[in-house]
Amino acid sequence: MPTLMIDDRKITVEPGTTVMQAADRLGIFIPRFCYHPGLSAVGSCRMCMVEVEKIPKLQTACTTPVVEGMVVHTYTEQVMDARRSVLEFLLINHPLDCPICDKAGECYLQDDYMEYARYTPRYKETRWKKRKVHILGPTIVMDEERCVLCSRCVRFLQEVTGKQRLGIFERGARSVLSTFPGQTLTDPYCGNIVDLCPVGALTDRTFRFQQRVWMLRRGESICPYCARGCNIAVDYNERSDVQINDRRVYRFRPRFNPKVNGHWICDRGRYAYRFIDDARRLREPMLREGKRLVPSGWERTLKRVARRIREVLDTFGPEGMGLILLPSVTIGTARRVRKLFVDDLGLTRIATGPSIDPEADEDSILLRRDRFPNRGGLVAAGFPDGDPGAVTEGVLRGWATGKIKLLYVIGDDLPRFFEETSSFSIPSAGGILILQRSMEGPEDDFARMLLPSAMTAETAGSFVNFEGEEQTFSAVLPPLEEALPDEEILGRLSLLLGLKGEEACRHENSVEEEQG
Amino acid sequence: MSIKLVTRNFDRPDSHTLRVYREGGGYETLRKVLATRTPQEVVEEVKRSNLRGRGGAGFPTGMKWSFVPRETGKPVYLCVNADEGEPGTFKDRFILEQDPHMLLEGIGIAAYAIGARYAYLYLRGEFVEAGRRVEDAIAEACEAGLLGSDLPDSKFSLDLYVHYGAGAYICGEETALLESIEGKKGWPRVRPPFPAVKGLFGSPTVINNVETLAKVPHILEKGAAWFSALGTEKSGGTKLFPVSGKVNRPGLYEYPLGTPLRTIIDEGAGGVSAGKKIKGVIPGGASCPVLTADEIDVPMDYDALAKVGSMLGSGAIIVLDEETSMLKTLLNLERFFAHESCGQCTPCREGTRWIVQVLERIAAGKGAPEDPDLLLDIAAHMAGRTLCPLGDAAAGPVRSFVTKFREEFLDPLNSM
Ligand SMILES: Cc1cc2nc3c(=O)[nH]c(=O)nc-3n(C[C@H](O)[C@H](O)[C@H](O)COP(=O)(O)O)c2cc1C
Ligand code: SF4
Ligand code: SF4
Ligand code: SF4
Ligand code: FES
Repeated sequence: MPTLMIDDRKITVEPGTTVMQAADRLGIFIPRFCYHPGLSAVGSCRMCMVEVEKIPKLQTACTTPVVEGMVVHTYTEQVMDARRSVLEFLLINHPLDCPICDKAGECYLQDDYMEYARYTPRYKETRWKKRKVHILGPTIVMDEERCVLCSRCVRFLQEVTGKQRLGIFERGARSVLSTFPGQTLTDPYCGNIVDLCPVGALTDRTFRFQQRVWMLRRGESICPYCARGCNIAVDYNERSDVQINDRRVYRFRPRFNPKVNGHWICDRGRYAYRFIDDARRLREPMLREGKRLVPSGWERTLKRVARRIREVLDTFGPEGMGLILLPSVTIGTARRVRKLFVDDLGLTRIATGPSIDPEADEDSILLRRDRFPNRGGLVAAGFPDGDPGAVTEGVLRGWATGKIKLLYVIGDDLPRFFEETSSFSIPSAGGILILQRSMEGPEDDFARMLLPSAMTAETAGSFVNFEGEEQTFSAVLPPLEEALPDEEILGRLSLLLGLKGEEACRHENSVEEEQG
Repeated sequence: MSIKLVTRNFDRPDSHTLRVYREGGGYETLRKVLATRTPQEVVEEVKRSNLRGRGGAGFPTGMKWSFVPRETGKPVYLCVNADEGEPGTFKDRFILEQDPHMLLEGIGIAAYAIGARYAYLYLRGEFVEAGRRVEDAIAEACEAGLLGSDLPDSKFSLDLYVHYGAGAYICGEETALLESIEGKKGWPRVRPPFPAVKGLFGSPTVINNVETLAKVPHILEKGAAWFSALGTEKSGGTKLFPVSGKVNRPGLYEYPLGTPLRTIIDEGAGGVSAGKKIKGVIPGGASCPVLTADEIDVPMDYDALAKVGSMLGSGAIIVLDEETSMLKTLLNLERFFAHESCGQCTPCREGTRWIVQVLERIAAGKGAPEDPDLLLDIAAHMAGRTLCPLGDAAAGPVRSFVTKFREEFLDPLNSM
C-alpha cells in the first residue's frame, strides 16, 4: 500500500489509486472537468494538473497513479498558472451566457474562474459560433457553444448504459458534441448527463429557464419508484406558492451511495419530481355525498371512516373487511398498519400487492421490475414475504363478490397491476371503498372516502430495498395542502377507533390538530 | 558522405518487386534469424546497434521491444506506423513505394523478436500507390512462403494487415493510431498505461515507424557494431533526410546520423536555389523549432539538435531563404496544427486556433506591439501541458520563430 504526501498531508492508499482519488479522500479539492469518479479517466481537460516532486512537467491528477513516497503539491505557482491558463483557453470560445444559463450557480467554469482565474481578458479575436439550441432528445437540449468537450456525457452513455449515442465530431476547435446521425437521446438514464455536464451545455428541457439554482434548497430523500431505492436530492424552492400553481420541487438528482445506486438514477425516478405538486395530487380528505366526493376535513372524514369500520366489524366480524397495503409505504406505516388492523382489529384478509408489474422492464443498471420501494420493510413489519398477486386478487375477488364489505387500500399505483379499474367497482351487494393515497386515479369514482397521503419527499421513514439495505430519510417538504403522512393518518384513526395503547402520533410533519 | 542502406535499391528498375529484392540477398537475413537466433538475441542485437526510432521521438528501438511483457496470455501486436503526414516529411512513402520488401523483412524480424503473431500496417489513406505496392508485396511474400501462417520449417508465423487511415494527421500518434485500428475516433490515449503493456485491443503492442523497421534487416545482416559505428555515439546508423524548400535539388537523402546539416543541404540537395542566402532551416519536420542560418553546422543527430533547442523529429529538412516570410511560414505551419489538433485536450484545441487567429491578424496588418509576447505566452501554456505531443509540436515552432525572428511578427510589411 503506497503512502504519499499531498500538500504536506500523508495518506496511504491501495495500489492503482490515482492522485485525484487520494486527494479527494483527503478532502483536498483539485479542480476538474473531464474526471468523474463514476467514469473512466481520460486526462483530456488538463484542469487537474498538479506538481509532483522529481517530475519536471505538471501531471494530471486524474490519471496519475500514486507511487510510494510520492510528494504532490496542488497549490504552487506553477499549478495556479496552469489552472488559470486552462480556464483562459476554455473561455476564449465560450459565450457570455451566465445570465441566461441554467447552470449558472453550479457551473464548474464559473466557479473555477472566480476561484483561480480572474484574469484580464486578452482574447481579441472572433469567437467561434456554434448552434445554441440543438434538441438531442425529448428531455435534453444542447448548447454547442457552452460545451467544454470534456466527453463526460459520451463516456456515461458508453460506459454506464453501454450505448454509443453521443460522439464528439470534427476535430480541433471545430469539435462538437452531437448524437450520431439519425439518433435521439431516449435512453432511460440519459437525464444523468445533464447532472454530469460540468457546464450549461446540456440542459434539461423540464428544468430549462424554470429557476435560478441559487433559489433552490437541497433536501435528501429516497426514490420510491422501484425496489432499488436510489438516493436522491430533492431541489425545491421554499418560497413557491402552490396555490398559484407554482411548483415547489424542480428536480430530483442522484445522491451518491456506493451501496445502492452509485452515482446515478434512472429517468423514471428522476422525472417523478413532477408528481409532487401535480394537479392530480389529492389535496384534502373527501367523503362521498351522492355522486360527488366532497371535501370534508380530516376530523369529519376520519370519524366517518372509524364509524364505518366499527359497523362492519361489529356486523360481519374481521372477515368483512379487507386491506391492501402497498409496499410504497414506510416501515413505520407498515408497523402501524400491522398493530392497528392485525393485532388490534384482527383482520385476516390482507394483501400487499403483486410484486411484478407486467409492463415493467428491468435492467442490469438500476431499475428493478418490482416498482415498490419497501417490500423488505413490509416483511420486517411482519407481513408475509412475497405476494405473487394471488393474495391481492383473492382480496379483490372477495370484494367483487360482496364477501368483503369494506376495502381499505393504502398506497398509490395499485390499479396499474390489474387489467381494469372495474376491479374496484362497487359490488352489487354494496360496499365501502376507502382509498388512502397521494394521487387521483380512475377508481376514485368508486371510493366512499379519499384520504390524501403525503408523498415520500414529504415523509420521514425508512425503506428496505431489494438487497436488504435499510435506508432512512426525513421529510424534505411539508405535505401538500391537507395531505398527511400515512403514519399520522393511521395514528389519528386508531385514536378515533378508541384503541388503547396506541402511542400518540409524533410525526415531524404533523399539521396542527384539527379542532372539534 | 551519403551512405545507402535503406535507399540502396531505389535506383534499380522494379526495385519494389520480390525478384529485385531477392537478387540483393533479400529475406536471407530473416531466414537466418529465424533459424539461428532466439527472439531475445534479436532484441539484444538491436539494443546494441543504438537504433533509435525514426518516427520522431527517437526512442531506442531495442529497449522498446524489451518492454513487451512475455507470457501474459494475451497476443502481442506489432503496429507499423506508415501514416507519414507531417509537412515536409516524405521518407516512409519512398520505402513503401520503392522497396516494400525491405520493410516486410524488417517487420518479420521485429515480429519474431517481440513474439507478435499479428501485425498491422497503418497506412496513410492518401498513399494510394504505396498501398498498392505494399499489398502486392505482401501477396508476393506470402506466395513465396516468406510471410503468413504455416510457414514451412518454422515455429514462426505472421499475418500482416494493411489498415488505411482516413486523413487525420493525429492518427500517426501511436495511441491515436491504436484507437483508429480499433475502429474508434483517433484520439490519443492518456499514458500510463503504455502500449507495450496495454496497447491494441488491450494487449501488449509495439509501434514502430516504417524507416525504423526498414533498418532492422541491415542490423541483423551486418551486425550491431557495424550499424552503430555508422552514426554517433548514442544514435546508430543512417537516417533518411527528405529535403524541401528553397534548395536546388529537393529530394530524399540518406546520411549517417551526425552529418552536419549544412553538408546535407549543400552536398545532398545542391545548396540554396538561385544563389540566395539561408534565413532559417526547419531541421526535422513541421514540429521542430527552426534554426537560424548561424546554427546550421549542427550535426544531425538527436542529442546535438536537442542541445541547440530543436529536434531531429522525422528528419525532414525545410530550407527557408532570405526572401521567405517567417510570419507566413509560421502561419502555414500553425494552420496545419490547428486543423489537425484532435480537439480532445484544452490547451491544444484552443491554443492552436488562438495562435492562428493572432498570426492572421498580424498578417492582415492589424498586429499589436504585444502580439509577439502573447504568442509566446500561448505557446508556453501549451508546451508540456497537453495530452499528446501534438501540443508541443504546435508550440515549438511558435517559440522558435517568434524568438528568433521577432521583428517579423511586429510589422507585417517587413515580412511580405
Ligand atoms: C502528432 C503526431 C504525429 C505522428 N505521426 C507519425 C507518423 O506519421 N509516423 C510515425 O512513424 N510516427 C509518428 N509519430 C510518432 C509516433 O507517435 C511514434 O512515436 C512512432 O511511430 C514510434 O515509432 P519509432 O519508435 O519507430 O519511431 C507521431 C507523433 C505525433 C505526436
Ligand atoms: S456537453 Fe457537457 S458533458 Fe458533454 S462534452 Fe460538452 S461539456 Fe462535457
Ligand atoms: S432505479 Fe428505481 S429507485 Fe432508482 S431512480 Fe429509478 S425508479 Fe427510482
Ligand atoms: S495535444 Fe492536441 S492532438 Fe494531442 S490530444 Fe491534445 S488536442 Fe489532441
Ligand atoms: S480532470 Fe484531469 S484532465 Fe480533466
